[in-house]
Amino acid sequence: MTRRVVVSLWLGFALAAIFFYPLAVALDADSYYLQWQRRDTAETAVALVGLAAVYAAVVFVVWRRQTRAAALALACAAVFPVASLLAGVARQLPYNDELRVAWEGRLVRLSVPAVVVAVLVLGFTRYPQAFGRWVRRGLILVSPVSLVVVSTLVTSASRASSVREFEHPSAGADAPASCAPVVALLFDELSYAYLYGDDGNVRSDLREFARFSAVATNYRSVVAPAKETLIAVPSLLAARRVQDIRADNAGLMEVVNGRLTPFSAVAADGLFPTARRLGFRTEMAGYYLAYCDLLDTVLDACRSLSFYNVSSARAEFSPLDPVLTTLVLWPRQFPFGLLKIPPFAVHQRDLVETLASFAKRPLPPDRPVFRLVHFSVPHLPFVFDAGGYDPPFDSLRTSPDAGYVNQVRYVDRLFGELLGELRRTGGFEDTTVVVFADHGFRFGGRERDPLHVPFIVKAAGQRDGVDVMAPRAGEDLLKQVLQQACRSPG
Amino acid sequence: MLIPALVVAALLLGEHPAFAYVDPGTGSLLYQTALTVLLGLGLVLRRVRASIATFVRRLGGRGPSQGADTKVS
Repeated sequence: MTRRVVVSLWLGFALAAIFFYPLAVALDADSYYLQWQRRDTAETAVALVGLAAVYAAVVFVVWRRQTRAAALALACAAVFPVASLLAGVARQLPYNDELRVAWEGRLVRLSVPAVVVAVLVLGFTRYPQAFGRWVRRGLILVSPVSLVVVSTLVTSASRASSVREFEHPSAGADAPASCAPVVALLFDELSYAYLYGDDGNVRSDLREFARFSAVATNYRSVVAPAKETLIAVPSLLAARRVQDIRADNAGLMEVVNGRLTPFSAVAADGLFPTARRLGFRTEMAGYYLAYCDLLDTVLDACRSLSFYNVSSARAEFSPLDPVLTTLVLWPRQFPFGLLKIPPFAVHQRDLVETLASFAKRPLPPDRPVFRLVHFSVPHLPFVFDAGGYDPPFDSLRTSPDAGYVNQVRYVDRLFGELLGELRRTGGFEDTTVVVFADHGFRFGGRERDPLHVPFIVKAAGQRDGVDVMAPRAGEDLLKQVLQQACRSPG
Repeated sequence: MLIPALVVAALLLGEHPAFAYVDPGTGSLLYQTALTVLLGLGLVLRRVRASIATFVRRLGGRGPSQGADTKVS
């Protein structure tokens, strides 16, 4: 009896811990992207204990039984943890492009899982006792992996320090500045080619953008700093072209002359230090990068969200969050994508709601604000359409581009809601509003050049549309807009 | 078994490829994982060593049934 209890407790713990293997893998090397906090570790610990109790109970009941039902129950209990272990291992394997392309082939993608399922079903139906025996042996074989998971979680807890939110009273210049408020809306991966039609105007089905464009300055030839967010957004924040960026557990590292040096967005000529110097109250919200850590000394208010850590978008303590985060960290490829996509879609919705809520905050009455919000749309997962949140079966599908097109339509609607809030509070006329992107659509379709991005600015008091055809660099232009917002009208 | 098989078949046939989305770079717990699996292998071998011994004896022509027969007689 004692031996049975020990085996049940050990395997229950092991199954629970193995489920979190992809999370451990991400925490080991990519904790920057998770913006991990001690609260997350506590949620994971509670989830692990709860799952372990359930699995231990199952193992206790079925371990010694040699029946077909017992074998099936044990296999069902093991399937998610083992799949999660495989998902975590798959994320670490050194895939090259040929392997990725091979897995995209329908024959390989469908036949390999089908063969695995067929072998398991055949084994279970023809040799149930042997099947049960090998399931038990398999569980014992992988059970020590749980030690790796727990040690990684403990290590990550000891270094968890990411700040995801703060609000300070206004700081900066002693005297209130005579600048117009600036609200900059960065829509991740909003493509110029999808926003503007061949006639040079904003597409007619994007009514809010078209309406805004007609009374704003349309910069037609803005070059993004890079094709990917990881480099483009730091360039925008530093107001200079950054050649390359690596994210490691210590933070963002810039590649300078082949050497890694810590990236800084708080140098004097950076975007937010400039805003502070001009007298703005500085606020930023965004996803993907740890903005509150990156800009802690130059922001008055911040909200930072992880693209992968579900908990980052939720205020309440929930042991379910690390479970969902683990599923989000599964590979998108079949069959893992079947379980990754639903929680990823919900997380995308939560990200957008949180960021929209930040963007809609009332403008502070005592000081002009520079507010930058980095939205996670129209970047995938494509879960919105013009009607709102309506995720399709595969929200990570990038070709054909229907999902992206639908999400651009939603961005148009969201943009209208944000402007509507500004109009409702009477701040629209006197506020400089900027709409831009970090890069274009990276997966083909109508896109001709992902570095050619939309950049539309309505200055305070502006009523007429203007086209600027001269080439501009995105990282310079945003800082210039700030400076222009502080020029006297005369 | 027919219903689960049909469900699996429906999922397989309904699946579409999602191109070119790659998660951020991944680290490597692979070595630690491999080492702990070796530890697990030790546990499994300990559990099945009797079966292995029997199998080896059979290969050598000295199966347990032979010994048992001798004992009975």
